[in-house]
Amino acid sequence: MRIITELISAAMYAMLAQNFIFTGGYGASEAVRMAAKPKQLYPMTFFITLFSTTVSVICVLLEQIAAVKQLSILGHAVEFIIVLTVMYIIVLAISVLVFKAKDRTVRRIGIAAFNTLVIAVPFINYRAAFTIAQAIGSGIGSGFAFVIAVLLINVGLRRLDRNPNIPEAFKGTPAIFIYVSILSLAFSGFYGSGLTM
Amino acid sequence: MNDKTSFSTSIKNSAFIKNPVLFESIGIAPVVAMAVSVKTAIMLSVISAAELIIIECFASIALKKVKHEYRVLIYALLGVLINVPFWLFFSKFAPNETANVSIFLPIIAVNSLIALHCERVAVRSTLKETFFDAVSATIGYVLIIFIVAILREILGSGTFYSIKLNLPVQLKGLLLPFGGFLMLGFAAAFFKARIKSRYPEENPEEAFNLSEISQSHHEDIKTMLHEDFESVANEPIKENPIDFFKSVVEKPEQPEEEKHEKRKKIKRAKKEKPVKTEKRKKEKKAVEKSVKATPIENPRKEKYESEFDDILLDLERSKAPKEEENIDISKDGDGNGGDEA
Repeated sequence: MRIITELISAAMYAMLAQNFIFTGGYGASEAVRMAAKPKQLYPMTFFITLFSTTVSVICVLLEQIAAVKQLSILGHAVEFIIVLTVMYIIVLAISVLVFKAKDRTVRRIGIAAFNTLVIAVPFINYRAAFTIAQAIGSGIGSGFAFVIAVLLINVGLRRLDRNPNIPEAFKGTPAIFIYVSILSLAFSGFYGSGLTM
Repeated sequence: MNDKTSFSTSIKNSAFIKNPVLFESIGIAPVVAMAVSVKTAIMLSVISAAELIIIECFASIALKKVKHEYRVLIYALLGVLINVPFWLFFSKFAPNETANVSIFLPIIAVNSLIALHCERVAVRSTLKETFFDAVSATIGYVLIIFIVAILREILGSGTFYSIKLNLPVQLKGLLLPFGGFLMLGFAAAFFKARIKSRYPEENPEEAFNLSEISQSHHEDIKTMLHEDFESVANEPIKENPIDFFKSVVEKPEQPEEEKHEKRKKIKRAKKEKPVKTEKRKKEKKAVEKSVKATPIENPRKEKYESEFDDILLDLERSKAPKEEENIDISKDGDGNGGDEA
């Protein structure tokens, strides 16, 4: 019961209380670009969740080894990238060899694996000294956080695109950034501080 | 001279008109999260510049024949390798600032700016063109990092390069990612207005395509399940209920018990494979839709129509002698009221 509670609370924390995209800026580029082309949202989210969850769990497990635990922040950064690389190769191999994934899917896997959101999750887990259940929760939560961010930005983009009252200079990306900043402020206000680190 | 012209054009395009951060929304995360002071801006700029130029040139020289999926991997690994010595260098000279932004080391390594420029330019162009693109993209990126960082440090912390400015108000909220996004928004608007006034023929909005924002985000999950993973989607249906029926028809002399068992099996198979029947229904619907959508005439339809016409003709022929007979009879009777009769 305690494990389930930890998992759910970590997921809710990553998803709502402190949405990593709005309060940390992680994966913001991918979220904004995905909001402009939402057709690929769910496959992309699936892969992001897969990578963030597996990488964060593996990294928490590796922390049990004394030599890994003693590594500096630099060493941990290298460790996270290596774990992500290995996971990427495994997922890529399974997708290509077993499921005969097409080029389009393979490209998605690359974008989903190597983005700031996925790599930030194990770092946040490390800083917060999360347990395995919490690591799973934050991994899954980051995937859902991505969906929430993309859907919220997409709704805003649709309205901004139709709005004729926006000054010429603010049309397009300027209005998008300001809209995202308001969302970011809302999430920061909800949490209290908003500084993930 | 030619090189100078192409370089200045490259700077104009990559650094200003299609600025990666402002108009393409690439590489936002490090700017929003890390560019909060001049010192961190210097760190971010130096590392990003080194990464972008080295990796892009390397991709142009050595990665053109490597598959996309492996190239992405190499960019990330090279990013970390380039980051490490810079990080060690900065941690000696500015240990406090380096410790504060330590999380961003791997984040800069997987910066989408590098992967996108490498894929868009480096693997398709010559080394010279790639170098020009890398330098101009770096100029554009660094410029935005500094603008955002200087404004945030002055307004948010009330300092400039850690020197106190004794400002009456400090807007600490600007140090949050919210401030980063807000600064980016205003910087984008300012740049856009300047570009429009100086180069009226250029449209920076084109860099960020908004034509697909209304597309359904539900569509692609179906494509992923049915098309992207080909082997699963095209897996042949092993147990077709029609085959069961055929086997029953082919052996009519089977005893009643066996028949009963087979019927049970068919029922079970139907219950067990609802997904496949759904699949078949979907396929059938898709075929029907495609038939409706395609303007090409269906040969089978034509055949049926011609057969139907033949039958109609035969009917008319068979009716015709009867009618003639009737007319003859009426003529024989009273001369003209035969039709009414």
